[in-house]
Amino acid sequence: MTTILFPSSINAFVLDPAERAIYVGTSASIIHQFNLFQSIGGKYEAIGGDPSHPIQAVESAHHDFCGHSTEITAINLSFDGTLLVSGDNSGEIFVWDVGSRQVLRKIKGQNGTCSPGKINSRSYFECPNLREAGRSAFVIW
Amino acid sequence: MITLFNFQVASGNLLFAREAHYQPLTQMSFTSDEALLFTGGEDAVIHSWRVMDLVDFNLRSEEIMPVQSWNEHTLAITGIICGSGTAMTARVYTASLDQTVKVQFKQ
Repeated sequence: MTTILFPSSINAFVLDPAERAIYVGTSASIIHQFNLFQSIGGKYEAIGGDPSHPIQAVESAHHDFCGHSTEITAINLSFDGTLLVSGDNSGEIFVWDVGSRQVLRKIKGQNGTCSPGKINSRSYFECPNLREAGRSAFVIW
Repeated sequence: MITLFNFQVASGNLLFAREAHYQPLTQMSFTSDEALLFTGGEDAVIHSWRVMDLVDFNLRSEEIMPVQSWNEHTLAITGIICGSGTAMTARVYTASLDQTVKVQFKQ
């Protein structure tokens, strides 16, 4: 078993469809991308395998999605792994381009905690699921 | 004790209910061949259950035991994801409030 240690506690995470990386949403409002491989001498090798040493995920501008102002509550990827959608405690939903780590769209909350459900892998744009004061709302975008 | 319920969708019948965790159960995930179900919650324990056991009418709920249990995390489990592959080959990723993601795989 491999352990990966992050700088703050993890509220939600999602796995790349090809298992190349995990995207971890933390209580520090940052989403970390952690690659599950490393490149050694031009060859790719899977990381991990040593149960006695946790791997420290280093905070680095190259792998962090910064932009949320409150802690991340939910996160998901599109079916091809190019779009990341994340929601935070203030009800805001961000849509990110994974390659450039840029915010493509912000969907302004409704008050209340937001928890995106699955992005349906068949229909690229199907919904996050907003929870506001006890009501559930589907947002198709 | 927190109970795991198993309903049949078409009829709404309750197939199975069993006490499973000591604190609220927040995460569940099937392997892609749906042979195993992983459950995890605020008690930081992850159980894996054989789905065939969960739908077997001949087994009493108390007889069904998790295939495997993991006590590795120290705080509530916030995510369980099963990677691609069958129950025998898939890697299982588990995240927790204890700031770690642990990757389990069968050797």
